Amino acid sequence: MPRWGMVIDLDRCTGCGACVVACQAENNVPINTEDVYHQRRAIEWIRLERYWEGEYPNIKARYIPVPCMHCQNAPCEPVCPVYATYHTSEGINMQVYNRCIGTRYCAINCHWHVRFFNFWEPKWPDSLKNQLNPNVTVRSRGVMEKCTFCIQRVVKAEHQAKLEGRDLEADEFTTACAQACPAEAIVFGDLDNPNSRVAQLVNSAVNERGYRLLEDLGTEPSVYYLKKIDPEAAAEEHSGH
Amino acid sequence: MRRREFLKLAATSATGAVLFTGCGSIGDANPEHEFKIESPVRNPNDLLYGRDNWYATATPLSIGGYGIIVRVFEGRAKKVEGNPDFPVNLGRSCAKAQALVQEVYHPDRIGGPLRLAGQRGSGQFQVIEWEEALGQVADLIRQAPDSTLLITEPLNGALGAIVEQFVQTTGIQHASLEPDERVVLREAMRRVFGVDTLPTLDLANARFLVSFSADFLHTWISPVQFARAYGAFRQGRPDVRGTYYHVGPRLSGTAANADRWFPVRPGAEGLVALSMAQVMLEEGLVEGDGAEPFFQAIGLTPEQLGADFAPDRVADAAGLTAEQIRELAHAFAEQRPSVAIAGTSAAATTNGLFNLAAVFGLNYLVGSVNSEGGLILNPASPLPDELPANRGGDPYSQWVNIAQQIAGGQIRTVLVHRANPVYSLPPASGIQDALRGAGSVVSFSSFLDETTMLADLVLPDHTALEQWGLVVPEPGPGFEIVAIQQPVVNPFVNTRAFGDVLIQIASQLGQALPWPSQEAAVRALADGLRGLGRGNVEAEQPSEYFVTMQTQGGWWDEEARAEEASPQAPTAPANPEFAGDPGQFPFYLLPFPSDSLGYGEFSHLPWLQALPEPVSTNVWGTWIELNPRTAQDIGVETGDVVRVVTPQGSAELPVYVNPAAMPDVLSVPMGQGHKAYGRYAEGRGVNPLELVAPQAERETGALAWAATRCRLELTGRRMRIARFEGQFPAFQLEEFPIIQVTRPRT
Amino acid sequence: MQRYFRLVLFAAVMLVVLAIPVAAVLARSYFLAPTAQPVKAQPIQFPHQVHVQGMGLDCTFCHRGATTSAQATIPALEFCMNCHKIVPWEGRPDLERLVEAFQSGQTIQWNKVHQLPDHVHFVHAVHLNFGFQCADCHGDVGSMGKPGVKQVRDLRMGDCLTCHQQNGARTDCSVCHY
Repeated sequence: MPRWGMVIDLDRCTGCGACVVACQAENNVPINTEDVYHQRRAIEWIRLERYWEGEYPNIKARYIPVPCMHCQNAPCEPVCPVYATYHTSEGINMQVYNRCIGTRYCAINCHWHVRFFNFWEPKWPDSLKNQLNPNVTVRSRGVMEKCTFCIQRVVKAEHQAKLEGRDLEADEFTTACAQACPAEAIVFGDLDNPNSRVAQLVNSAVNERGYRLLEDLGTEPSVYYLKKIDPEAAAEEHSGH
Repeated sequence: MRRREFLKLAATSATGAVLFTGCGSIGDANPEHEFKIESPVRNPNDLLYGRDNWYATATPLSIGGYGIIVRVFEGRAKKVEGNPDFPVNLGRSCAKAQALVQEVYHPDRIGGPLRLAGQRGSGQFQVIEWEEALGQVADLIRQAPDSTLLITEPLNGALGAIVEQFVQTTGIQHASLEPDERVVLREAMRRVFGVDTLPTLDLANARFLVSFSADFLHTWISPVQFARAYGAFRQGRPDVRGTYYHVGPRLSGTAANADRWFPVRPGAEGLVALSMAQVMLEEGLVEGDGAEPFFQAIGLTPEQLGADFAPDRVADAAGLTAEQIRELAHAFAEQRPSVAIAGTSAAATTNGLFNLAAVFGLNYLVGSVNSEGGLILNPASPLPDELPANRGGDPYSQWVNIAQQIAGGQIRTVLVHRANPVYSLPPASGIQDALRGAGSVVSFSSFLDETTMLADLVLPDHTALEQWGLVVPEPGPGFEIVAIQQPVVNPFVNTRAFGDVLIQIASQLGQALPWPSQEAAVRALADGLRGLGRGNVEAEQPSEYFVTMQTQGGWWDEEARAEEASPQAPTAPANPEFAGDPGQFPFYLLPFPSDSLGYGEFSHLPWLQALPEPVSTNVWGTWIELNPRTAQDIGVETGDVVRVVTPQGSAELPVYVNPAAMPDVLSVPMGQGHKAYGRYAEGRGVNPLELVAPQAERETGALAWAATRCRLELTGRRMRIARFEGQFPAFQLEEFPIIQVTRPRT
Repeated sequence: MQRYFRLVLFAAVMLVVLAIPVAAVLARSYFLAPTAQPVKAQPIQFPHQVHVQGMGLDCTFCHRGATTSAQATIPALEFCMNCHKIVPWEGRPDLERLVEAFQSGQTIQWNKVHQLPDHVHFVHAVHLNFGFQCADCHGDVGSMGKPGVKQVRDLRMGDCLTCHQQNGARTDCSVCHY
């Protein structure tokens, strides 16, 4: 059984935002209008954060794409009173929309702020509905939604392998964000398959650079980051404050 | 209220509440439709119902013309991905390409041919039949072909061939509109390297890159191609990590990735480059006989360079220290292969051509022209006669002439295809008033943009995903390449391909073009590629050849590369000149192309409007960026509205305090300020082109949009900027920051 | 008594009035067994009986996607016309409707009989590949003539889960809900 995970190389990321739009296109994320931004209710399953470091003229702006971490020990799961958020056997933290009653406890308990509540009914002009992905449920008002590691692609690939009577191959498919990423900063795959690029990146020597976001909370995220390299960084200096 | 009334009210409202929930729609779906399942009429061979169908096609030239594959389900385009076989992007894509599907299903797409029903500019149109529309355009051309002007975006490949044939057979005039700094870049390529194509970068093998203002990862010529190479440049090799320095007046989305950023005055890029060259020559850091072509490119003698461009002499003018310039020179000369590029605002000052020539000339000094890890020049189109190369855009000065000719009546009929001169040219060009008074204006746009609003007739074109084409990607990957565009879905509304329309008009004029349709032109020209007998497509029969080419996404030949380059004409050093007296206008106004909206051509797509600008994270609007000190001195903070006054005009904009802004440079994003162009673009923000003085680049006549000074006036008002930053409170652990940084391994 | 008569009458009327919307909600909801619903009217009264029992066609002859994709798919009219161009249609209203729709390029909008909610993703191919027959869920459609197909199995979540458990299939929510 696979254990899905992701590696994001901060030294490759260019901050272009292709992942953000690719995710919205794949997952029927409602359009983030100006009003939604004013209300601070923008939904971006993967988002690009920018952190300042230093002062002009010695200033740096650094990017970090943040999807759901799919923690193996996820703080959002035990607080759901109706088991709408739960862990699949393949390591994906899932949201069951039809079960969700919108208490938002999970969002409060998530330190990464990657869970989004549908405060409004999602709206598209009729013609734009033609673009919606039939493999992904359109979430109605009152339910949480979040990054699913493109589970519709996972399921489709697993079904295809089953129909062809074979096992899933390493890196047979990938998520929308990873597929779009022009700098190949995002890599998705099976952490338990030694032939997959993710496993190689996590395990190989390159990974003096590996770390996980807020790792010390002990939630065991499935998303690994590779540290940004900066020749000017002090030996043990960190940034992002 | 009496008891009875209350009960009545309570009863009706309770019933109402239940009825309301009972009958309301679930989700945003249309229940009527949801409970139906449709039997389609036809069952084409190449479409499987109930399954994903993937078709390879290409993005329009404005996004680089690279290869994409589109997921089509039940006849609807769902998702764009990069074409993994296509050499330019190898499966990668960008936000703009992703948003192409929104163009197909845009709610404000023009549904069919229109005729003006009210006064010009009123936006009142009436739907007409295609035959009527075609007949009217044919009549207009027949009346006076000499005084008819066709304005297009730069075109190449199949559509370029059709337009060229049409222009020749009918005898009308033709002009192309593209961002002005692209015009300067093309001229620089011609002068410094003697090529008519745009260059690419072999970053995957380079050790050092210095970019002079070029926003190459976000907006400059081919961001997908460069970003893919950039990933390899940083982390693609086990032992080498490429180093990237950025020299420019704004910490752009691209510059934020640099290892070091050197803020320089706008327009001083060329000066810094010459000074670097001076250091390299003086210290003997030049590769072979690279100095000779370098001096040819900049038209100086070594003595002149040594006398006038030593770091100590130029440091102040550039806004750097002499030490910094030496450091740049050493980094560039010692970490080879190294490559230098310049663009975006560096090309948009009055000395833009010199800036580009000086910077691109640096590549000669380190032997990086057309060599591994360097600047790779692209060859011309594989079939130069049949598949014309991009002839490039006309400079601003030419557009001023055109506006005068329209106003003066020498040009009576204006045909506009996929260009929006009313928005893209500054008001000072006079184009808007000229078009308002023109004899006839015909637009082929799919959207009611500012120019189409002035049209008498609209003959809407298909979107990129609905039509046939052959596109020569710009820039190519360093060898000959042609991308094939095919309709992945049937036209969603009653539109016709621009090429088909031209062919039909020509036949009404009795001057048939060589092909019966745009598709036929594509097939015929693709067969011309087969005739070359080389390239990636291996098939004997014409039909098999064409199908193979369709599935692979194009034709390319990795052996066919550009020949040796040499400078053709010198570009003498020049200082930037700015409109506005420094005493009265203390700041530089620096417009910059928006990372998602480009120059405003993508403002109609909601995904791109909602995509945060990476550095400020602002969305859906225009803002002006101020350094924190400057903001403090003036007494404003983020959200305060200021009036920006230039010698040309004024506009009110909200302040965004950008910690990386240079103290005397105020940046404003382009892309907004549309007065038309659909519900997502209209009436939003300010177009900075309305503020810039109509200064021309001194040698090419292109618009120098980064050559205006400004001052700020307080308004005392505030407004909220729609912004991504602050949407989610950052949670941090002491000692374990969100972005962790490490030093390179030694 | 007289005093309370009006109140009782009011309450009775209220109960009836309130019952109507409640019934309306229930009728639309999945709490009411779908199998209990009447046969839906269809634009064409398609007799499966004639095609399956009479002609001996296999289900997948027309529903071509069933073994390879999520959707079983409804055939295109062009596909129907492969045979029906030689079957006389004059005087047979259902066939006339088919031919007319095909000739005028109009699609046929069938009413879905087996309607799963939007948040359920059922994949035909894997179920058939596992060894199920169409009839296991759809009943003996081959013997259903006019006016049309009727749902015979409950097909609500409990039904799905029972079957998944009996056959050792995964019962993760995300198997169907995403």
